[in-house]
Amino acid sequence: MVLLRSLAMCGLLVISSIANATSSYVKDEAIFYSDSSKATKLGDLHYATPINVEEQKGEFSKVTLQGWISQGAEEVVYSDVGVVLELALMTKDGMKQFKENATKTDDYKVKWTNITVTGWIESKYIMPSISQDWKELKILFSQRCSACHTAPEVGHVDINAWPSLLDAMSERAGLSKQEENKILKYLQFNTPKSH
Amino acid sequence: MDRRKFLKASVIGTGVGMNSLNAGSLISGPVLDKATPKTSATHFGTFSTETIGGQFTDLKPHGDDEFPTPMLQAVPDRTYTATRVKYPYVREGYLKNGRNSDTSKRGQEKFVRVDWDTALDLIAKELKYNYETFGDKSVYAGSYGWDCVGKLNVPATLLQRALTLAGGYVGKVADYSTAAAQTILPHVIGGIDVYQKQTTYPSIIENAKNVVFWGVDPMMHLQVGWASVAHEFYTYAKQWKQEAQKKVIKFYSIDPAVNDTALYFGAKMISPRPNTDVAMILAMCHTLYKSEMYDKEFIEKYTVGFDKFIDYVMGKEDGVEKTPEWAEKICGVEANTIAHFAKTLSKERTFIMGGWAIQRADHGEQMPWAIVTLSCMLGHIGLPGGGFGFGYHEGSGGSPKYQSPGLTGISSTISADGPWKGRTQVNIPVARVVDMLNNPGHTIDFNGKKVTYPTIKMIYWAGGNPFHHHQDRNRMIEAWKKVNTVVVNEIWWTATARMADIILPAATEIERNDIEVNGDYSKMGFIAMQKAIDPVGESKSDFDIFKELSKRFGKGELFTEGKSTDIEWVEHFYNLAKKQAEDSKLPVQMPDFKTFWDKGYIKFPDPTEEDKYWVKMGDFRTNPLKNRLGTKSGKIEIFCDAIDKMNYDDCKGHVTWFEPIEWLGSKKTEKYPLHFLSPHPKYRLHSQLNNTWLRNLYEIKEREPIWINKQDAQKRGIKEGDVVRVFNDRGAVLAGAIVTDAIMPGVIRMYEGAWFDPMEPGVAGSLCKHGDVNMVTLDKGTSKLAQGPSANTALVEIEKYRGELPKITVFNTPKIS
Repeated sequence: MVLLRSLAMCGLLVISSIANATSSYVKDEAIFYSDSSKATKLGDLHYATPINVEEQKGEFSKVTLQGWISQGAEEVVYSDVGVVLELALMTKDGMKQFKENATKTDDYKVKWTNITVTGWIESKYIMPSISQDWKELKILFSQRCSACHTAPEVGHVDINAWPSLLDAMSERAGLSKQEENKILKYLQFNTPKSH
Repeated sequence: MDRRKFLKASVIGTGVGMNSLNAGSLISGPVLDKATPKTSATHFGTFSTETIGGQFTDLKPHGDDEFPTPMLQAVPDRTYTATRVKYPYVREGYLKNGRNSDTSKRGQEKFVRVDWDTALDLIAKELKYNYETFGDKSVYAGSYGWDCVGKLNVPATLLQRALTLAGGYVGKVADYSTAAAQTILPHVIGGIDVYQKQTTYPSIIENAKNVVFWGVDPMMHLQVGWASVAHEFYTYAKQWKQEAQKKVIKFYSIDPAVNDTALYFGAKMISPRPNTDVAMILAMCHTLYKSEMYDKEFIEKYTVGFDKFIDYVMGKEDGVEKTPEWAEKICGVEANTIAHFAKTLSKERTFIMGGWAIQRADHGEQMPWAIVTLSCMLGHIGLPGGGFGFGYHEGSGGSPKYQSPGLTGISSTISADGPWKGRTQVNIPVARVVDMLNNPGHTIDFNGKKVTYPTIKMIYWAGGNPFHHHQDRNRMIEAWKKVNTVVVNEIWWTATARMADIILPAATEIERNDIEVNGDYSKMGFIAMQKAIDPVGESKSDFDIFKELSKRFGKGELFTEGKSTDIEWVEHFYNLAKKQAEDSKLPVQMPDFKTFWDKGYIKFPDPTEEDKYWVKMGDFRTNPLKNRLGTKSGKIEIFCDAIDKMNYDDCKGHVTWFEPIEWLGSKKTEKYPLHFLSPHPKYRLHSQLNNTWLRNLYEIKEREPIWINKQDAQKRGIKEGDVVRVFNDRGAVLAGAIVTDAIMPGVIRMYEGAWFDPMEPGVAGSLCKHGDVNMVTLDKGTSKLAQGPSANTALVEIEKYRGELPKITVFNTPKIS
């Protein structure tokens, strides 16, 4: 119970739908292929996306991604229903590989489908733990975002509003696109869901 | 300063200040000793300096600034004014009794000049005492203000950096400018908008047929900016006017006064009573709905909760139908005008620019939401030149961005491990500072959360003048008495400096090295801010001040991170930007630092065509499912569940008309019949430059002008040029009357920022002789949602001042020994 609560406080419940699967995370941006010969591109897996590593073959690993897609924008895989935390952007081929699990309709009558999809990425894009990244990004965030004003708390805005807020501020903060993207993931994965 | 005073001053301190050549000194160098011009930057613009014999005598606006503001010309004067703080000082009673001094003597007692070590040792001692006795939440360093430009010398940030190392501080959240808008808009459109990229001027100029300036006067505001201001708006405004002569573009200004923007574009005026614009918009929505002239497809596809909102508009929720006739009784604009205006806007591409003054009012959250809701019904959002924006009020928002890298700056965060890592940071909504001092331990609502006020014992302010910008001056004077120590870094003898115990003299931009972006939004270049003269008197840059303070906590190295001079930091920031430009393959070859520094400026390549015609929410309009907004629903929330669930009585799930605590429709008008507005000044940046010769151009009998309508003036026997007393139960202030039809009857308007000059300094209830608007404004949070300031909600009475005119004293040096 204590563990659950502290998980919730860290915002890790956001990814609880993948509870028994995840032990690894995507490092940087990884191209998602149908097999280890890079024959067909399934999509792009974003930085920090939790993945389950099924097997490793040479420089490639077979990984499974789980997430939610919304009706009308099936190419974007989100972390949860109604949460604009992008895990992956799929190609048409990638979308064909979706294994559909459950469906839910959100408060705004949009239908969401839980999917899993398996494919291959280069093993160098896999990291077993993300806590060190979060530690570094926390520093980068609080450094760059406290030059003009007090650095906001992680829960300052709703998890969905971070992309827009960060987009507005990143130039003022002198962040590169890559830094902005990583900080965004740090903020979103660590925002308490109930905010 | 006149010569006799100078001679007197220069003797003090046994000639301590004499070894540096500055204009406070008659022993400046030969007039033929002209230094090479240096580049520098301010909130008023970028320029190169002329220094003669070590004195800053003149400046030349930067070549990329097509429309330099006249304010720039006052920058040399502000450097040497009699109000310059040249040495460290301590209030007499404080020097004697320290933290046990009689705090009601602030503002009254004379100041004693001390040396730097004495002042810094004293500050360090008091910080330690308060941390040890009352804990890390006993020192307030929210320190809001507009002092200077530069990426290193950011006074509030440096203060927080130093106090992080020293033992902690209580900070602030949001700002006085946009608190209400920046808090509500993320719920409604998924972004703060006020400081975000805006639909560009080229897009608006080319495509908008109706342009509505709703409570915004860019022609006046955009003279100054947060970064070094480049005045891009004025170039676009000229093009816009030319374009409007070729084809029909209709301009509207919704404002109680005919402002400069309205004058320039010949805008059609609609003047609702202040703080009633929400009622007018609700009636416009009513008109569009009843006449079916709203964009149903847009509402369906891009918004949520319209049905609940329309239930309210049609009176199903509260039994009151929000008809134009209903609104007319509230806002005073004729029902026909309201209905006609709504229909006109629906027929052709409309762009609405929302100002910030309209949200600096009781229930200020409603106005941005109302403009968004109306824009949804008009349906032009995401189309070229259509929709709304709240970022046109500052820094020429709407100017396309040049192809430039970002430029970072100093941070309040210490990356090394230390006790600060385990501290929880408490930040208070910025405008609740006085409320916090008055109510320690009290808990307030704030945007769905609770905030508990800590017990503050010490205040340290750097780079701001709260005795100008905070509302209800008399309440503030009382609250200030509650803390044992007040420290400020100040350039000038502002009211804030005069109300302090320890004053450290800070240097201006031209007295130090730094770097800044040219143009808040366009980011057209970087400016090398090169030191042109030595710091005046014994003043130091804020960076040096806090470096020295940090040393007293054994944390000098952590403060400087091994870069102990300003130029090392500037080089570091520049090189980070250069690397970013290279990594992101920008089409620019940034030279090495030295080459840049010697040249003084780098300009970046022109905006791309895509950036030039960028349209806010354009991608959302193209595919709202893929390009979700940052709201809970991913769409524009006309009804917002998140806000509704907060269950606030003063901010509900949809735009609501709330009667302001003071307004022209209230019973309170029997006693105080005029609505008092305090917009930005035309020839100041808030309170900055009021202490220069510029004030001679606009003051009336040495008082800040106030606009009053002819009818209102006549009723009270007031004539143009009279000195008047403006008052209510909160306080009273003198002003110089401008009698004019440019302001609607029942409303008076006085620019904020005239220096507070009380008859009896330090005494609450004393008349301000000079024109501080915050003698009569209201210190109340906008609502439980944003807790922003409500400066534009105030009723007053005004009368001709018949007493002997008191002498203005705030521009003299205070009593010093």
